[in-house]
Amino acid sequence: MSLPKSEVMYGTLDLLVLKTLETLGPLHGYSIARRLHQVSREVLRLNQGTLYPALLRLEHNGWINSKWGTTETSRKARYYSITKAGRRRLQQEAGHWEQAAEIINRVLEGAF
Amino acid sequence: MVTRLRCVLSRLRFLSHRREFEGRLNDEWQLHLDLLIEEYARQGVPPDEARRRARVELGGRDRFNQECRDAGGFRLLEELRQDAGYTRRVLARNPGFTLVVVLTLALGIGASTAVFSIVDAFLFRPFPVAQPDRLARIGGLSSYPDFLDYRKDGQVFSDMAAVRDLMEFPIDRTGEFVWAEVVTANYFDMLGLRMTLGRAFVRGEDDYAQRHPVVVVSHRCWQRTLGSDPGVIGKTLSVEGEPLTIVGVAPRGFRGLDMAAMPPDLWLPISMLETVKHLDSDPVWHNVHLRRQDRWLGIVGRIKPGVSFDQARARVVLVTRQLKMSYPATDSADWQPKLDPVGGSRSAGADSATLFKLLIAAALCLLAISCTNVAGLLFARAFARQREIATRLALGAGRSRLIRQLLTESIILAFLAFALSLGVFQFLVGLLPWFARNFDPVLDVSLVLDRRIFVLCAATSAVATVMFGLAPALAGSRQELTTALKDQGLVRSRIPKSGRLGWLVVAQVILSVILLIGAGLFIRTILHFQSVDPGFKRNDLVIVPVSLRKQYGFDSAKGAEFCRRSPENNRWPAFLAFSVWSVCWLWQSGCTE
Repeated sequence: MSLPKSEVMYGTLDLLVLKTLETLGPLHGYSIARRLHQVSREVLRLNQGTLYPALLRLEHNGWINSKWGTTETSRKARYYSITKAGRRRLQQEAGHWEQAAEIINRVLEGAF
Repeated sequence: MVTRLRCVLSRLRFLSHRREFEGRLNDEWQLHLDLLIEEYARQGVPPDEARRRARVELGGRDRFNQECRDAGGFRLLEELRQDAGYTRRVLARNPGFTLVVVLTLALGIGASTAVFSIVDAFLFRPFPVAQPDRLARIGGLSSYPDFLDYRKDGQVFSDMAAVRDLMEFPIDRTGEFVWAEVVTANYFDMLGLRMTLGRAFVRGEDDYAQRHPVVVVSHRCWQRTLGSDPGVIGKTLSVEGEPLTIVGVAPRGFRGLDMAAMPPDLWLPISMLETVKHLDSDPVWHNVHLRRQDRWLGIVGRIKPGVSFDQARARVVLVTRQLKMSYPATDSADWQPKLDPVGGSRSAGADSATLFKLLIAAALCLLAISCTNVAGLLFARAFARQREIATRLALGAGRSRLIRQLLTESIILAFLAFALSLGVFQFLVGLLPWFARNFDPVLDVSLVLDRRIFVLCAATSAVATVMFGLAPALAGSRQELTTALKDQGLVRSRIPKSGRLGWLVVAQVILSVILLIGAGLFIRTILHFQSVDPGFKRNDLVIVPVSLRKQYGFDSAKGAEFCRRSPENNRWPAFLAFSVWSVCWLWQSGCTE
């Protein structure tokens, strides 16, 4: 079964973006999408209409902040970086995710 | 919580820098596109094809912008702006409807609030004294020796003061008539009043052995008669030829303990009564403080902490019984003083209390009428608008969106009405002194807009407006679009059979009739007052106050001579005839013209 492309499970996008930023440091939107694409072995393809609203939302919540910078090819780009609150949030979200995954796994394995 | 607050603040920051935000979206979009093209180019795709693929992958730009705007918190604002604009057009298209609704609501809210505020100022606002609920009044009048005995008992009252109001008499400098009360020296301290200027009476100033010519003036008197002079303390105020030293100015708003009576302008020590009234030669008032059989004083006491009102009452009954036993000759058996709370007797007598209740009922009626009127109007319009609503539903408007739009409309209507109702309130309150100019001093209470009452009235109307304003949305979302859109006949057929409208009309008619009858009776009563026939022709009469005091060179013989001869010696040709009498009761009724 192949995963439908560009589909991100609801509620996990925040987690993915925060984790990417935590691991790789400040990135612009395009490279975030790229990285996620690569890391997911080319399965995840983030639509722009999904990624940027999510970035805005994360910024509103104070989990990331953004400022203008220049890329290696000296283009003007907005760089996003994770904040302290974002790291805390990431930890929480990751914890929730692991818990949820474990429960689902146990159910699927038939551990009744 | 903090996160939520930060979120809101961040959104607001975005909203306030909308242009910057749009620019940022543009830049992001462009960068993404460029980088995508570059990447395709790196993979060896020819430039045109790379460009095409990148565009396909990125998708529609408008949608991107819209989604980002939604995330940026612009959507609600955008729709609110649309709604407000639409409301403005709808209301402007029906100026008659708008005007009637806004005026009706504004009149209802403004008038009710005005009446409530007036009633509140008289009935409900607590006395400007410390802990008014701990004050009690011994009903009826008592004699001075009895008062001293009550006070000496000291079991249930921490302090007790005696009050007696005097007739009005003129201040010598201006000839202006003022009302005065004589009180025991502890009066102000017992009430816990803080003087605006100077001091209250001190212990011993009510001493009968050595009389102290001191006076405390009311705040109103200080402002009107003494010109708000800050250095008034220690100056002399001459009343009936008696120079009195002003020692204090009572706090603003303090108008004695009887709201129905004329508010006193002066307070004098009780021992000054005879001096000021020049009663030395009057056998009734001479040395009245020594006689137990003469009851002329009101007594007010402050109940001790921890003592209940009933305990205090029982004690007063007991002391009274002891007094009757000790002085059977003077304290007769039918003398039955009772204890009343001071706050309770403040309602300006039973008659005024009833009047005020009626006024409140009238105000409620008015509010209810204006609400039902507006509800009826909105309801009627709801049916007229069914086609419009149906069209908008057919074009894909969501029910919640429709409700939000109608809500905006109702709220804007309500807000217009609130703004106008403040003007109505000011206008009505401004009219009050004009209506009641004959009772001016009695109405000397500060009338301010009571926020609680305004909020209450406004909320009632707002609820009514919003509820009925939403009617088209609720009805509209229930109806089938096709029938609604088909023809005009639907308007008639859709009038509900449940009788909601009928109920409204009935309520409205009943309330209107009640109010109309009430108002009619009220006006008749007032007209009746004004046309009471005093039994003589008032139009050509003039009242000239004269004072036949010792200091003007009169003694009792000369005074009697003046009274006997004045009618004969008409020295003013403008007057046809004279008459002399001692007390003029018509004074208040404005017949001095």
